[in-house]
Amino acid sequence: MITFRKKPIAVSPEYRPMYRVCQIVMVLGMASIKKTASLLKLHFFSWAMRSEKNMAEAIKFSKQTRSEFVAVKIWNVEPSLNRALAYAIAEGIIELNGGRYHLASKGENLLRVILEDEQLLISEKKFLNTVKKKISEAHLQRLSKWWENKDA
Amino acid sequence: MLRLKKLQIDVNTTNGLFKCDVPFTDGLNIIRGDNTTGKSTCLEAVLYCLGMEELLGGRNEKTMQSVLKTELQYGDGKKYLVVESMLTLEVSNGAKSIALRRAVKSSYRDSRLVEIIDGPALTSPSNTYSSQFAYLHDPGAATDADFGFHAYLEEFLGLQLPIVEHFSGSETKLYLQTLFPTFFIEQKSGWADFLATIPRFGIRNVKSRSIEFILNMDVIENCRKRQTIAQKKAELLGRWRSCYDAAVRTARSCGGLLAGFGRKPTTFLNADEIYIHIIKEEKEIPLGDYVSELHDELRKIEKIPIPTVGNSVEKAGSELNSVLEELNTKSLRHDQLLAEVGDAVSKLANLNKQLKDIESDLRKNKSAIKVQDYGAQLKLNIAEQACPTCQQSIKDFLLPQDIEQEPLRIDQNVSFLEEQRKMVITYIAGQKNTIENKQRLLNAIRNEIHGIRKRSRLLRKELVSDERQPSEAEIEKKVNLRQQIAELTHADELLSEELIELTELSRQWKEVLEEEAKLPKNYFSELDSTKLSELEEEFKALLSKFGYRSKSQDYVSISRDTYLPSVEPLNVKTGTHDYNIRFDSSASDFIRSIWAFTCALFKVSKSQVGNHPYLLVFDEPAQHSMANVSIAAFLEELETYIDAQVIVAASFNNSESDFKEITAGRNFTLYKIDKNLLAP
Repeated sequence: MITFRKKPIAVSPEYRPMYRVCQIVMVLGMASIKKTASLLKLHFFSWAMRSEKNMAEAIKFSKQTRSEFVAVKIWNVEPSLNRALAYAIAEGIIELNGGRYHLASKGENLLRVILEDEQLLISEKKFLNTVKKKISEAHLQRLSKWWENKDA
Repeated sequence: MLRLKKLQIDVNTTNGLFKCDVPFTDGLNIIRGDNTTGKSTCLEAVLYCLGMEELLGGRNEKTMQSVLKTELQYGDGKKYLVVESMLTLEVSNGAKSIALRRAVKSSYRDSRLVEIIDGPALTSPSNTYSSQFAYLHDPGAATDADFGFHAYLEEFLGLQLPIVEHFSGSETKLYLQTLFPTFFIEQKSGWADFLATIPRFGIRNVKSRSIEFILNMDVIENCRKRQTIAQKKAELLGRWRSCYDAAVRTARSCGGLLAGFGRKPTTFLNADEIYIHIIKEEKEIPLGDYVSELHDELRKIEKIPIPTVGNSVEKAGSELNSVLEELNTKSLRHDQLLAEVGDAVSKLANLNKQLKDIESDLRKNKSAIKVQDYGAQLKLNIAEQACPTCQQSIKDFLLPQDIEQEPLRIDQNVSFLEEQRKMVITYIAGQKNTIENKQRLLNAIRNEIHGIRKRSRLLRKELVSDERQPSEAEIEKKVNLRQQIAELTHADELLSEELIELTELSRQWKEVLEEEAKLPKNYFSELDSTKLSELEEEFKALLSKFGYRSKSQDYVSISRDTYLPSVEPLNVKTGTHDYNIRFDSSASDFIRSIWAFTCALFKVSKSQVGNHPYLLVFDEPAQHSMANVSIAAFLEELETYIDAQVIVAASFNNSESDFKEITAGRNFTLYKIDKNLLAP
């Protein structure tokens, strides 16, 4: 008789809960004013940190001025980020206040540990240090409006 | 060694001169004063005079308390403006005393300047001492032997700071400032971590480098040796490569290939085995053989007088036929090879992209392993694959939990990727090799086709030219042969010149490899290992002496990676990663472990002849409502360091009875600050 056994599958680190939670913590801590961000913004950064190419596009987006508008190829919204957010809230790493996500003190501890290790998440840190807090909620609102109108 | 003799603070205010003198003796010194009387001001002033204020988190006068730069309070809360303030510290290196004077606020003296007075100006004042100025915090302050203060201090202390690796990849001297946090625990942030106040200066793993130097470990010297060898190797490699490339160019210039050695240096260079190959009919023939073949052919032709066109027309006709046929097959083969090369190149591009993806995935996965560890240290449930709400086990992925698939563990995932990476790298190497070979064949065929075309043109011309003319085809053949022989011989000569240099390089390469083999195999020399285990023993012994209870001693160790105390995880899953003892200790126990570590460093440096300056300074060691018995045990330990100088500043909970209880039976010099450090 032949028996089949299920082999474990390889999973991209982006789908690991801890990894994703760390990304969220970094976005809130390094790229968000008052360590608070909307779901839209978190999804945008989650898309941006997927690949070097996305990061480059996001950096271009962050450099736009009032007069010139830079459109980003539409970013995708993934359920996995929502699951990571649910975990992070349950852990008390972040808090949900009035529809916005805020970094809790436990999350700040985690962020400190991440920042202390210079070998860790190097390209992500470099990216976030480049865009800093330049990608504001208003920017993203404008971008999503632009896409809405484009579809219409 | 570094020994403090006396500190003098002069503050000129709108209400006259305020000053204080703090004498220090050998052995245990206690500076006692209630809160906000100026204990820290006093110890910070010591750092400032030594140009070490970077431990306080800044540079120059802004690191000093306001009492020294803006406003001084005295008596019943009266405030006076500070006009001028000057700090002077007399220190000795065991043989010689000097005084260091530096302004905090002054209209005529830059705070970056330190006046070095060549004599004990505070303990036995005299106006016969000469003085000189040195500067701080400017490029060169650490290396300029004449005017840089830290360079002066390094020499005064008899230290020789090692060259270490900078984050930019270049090298830099280990800064003197990075040593102080190993023996000077400042109050504001010094108790936050081991060597918490260390300035980094972009030095890679600066804490470890500093501890290595204090313990005088062989690792430093070996690292340096390793670096020089690596440099020499890189230089030889570069010269070898340019030599190899030159030889390859020589071979190509005559349409050949190089055999017998590669782009990587070797110690087994046999000049006889290095020669140039010529490709003929897709086969490789050694240059020498080919040249003699050509010689034979030439000789054969030279024997026969040059025929006229009329005589050779028939021969030319049949030769033209065979030449055209040959051209046909060769062209077919050429096109076939061209397609194969194109195919191989696009495969290679594909493989390269695959490799890049795998490598980026690997980097991310390695980060994922680390954050998992950090998560476990912060006691996060998700790091242990447990649901944060209900504690049930969850799958380690963010896909819907009801998917019936088990994810690979991250470490398995990493080894899976490593395997893939190795495989792809092998493929890439193979593919490159294939392309190179095909390209080579292609070039040879191109050359051959070129020759055949030329020949066929000549033969055609001959068929229609005057019958009485000498056969141009035959003459051309002869000239061609001669020219080819000359070219090939020239290439052979060039190659032998290049071989002379290669032989020399090969010899030097052998020397470097021998030097490299002499380096110790293990990262730590035997002595280094002894030092580290001694550090571990001392540290553990002191922990229990000071009443540390958070973690069983069995789990506490000195990390062989960072040299800092660490706790081994109970969690088997995370493997060998140990983590900072801070995560697993109560607040007061973490302070105890800083005491123990600082003392253990001194004791090991002393017994193993390290570079410790025999000075220990603790500003308010009683953090986090430390138990009196623990502080008493700490002082009891410090009292035994009779050949060192220990300075402890403490408030003893602002209580006389606590002071008596803690210091009962201790032998020490007391400096008591009654109300204000500074007095008129």
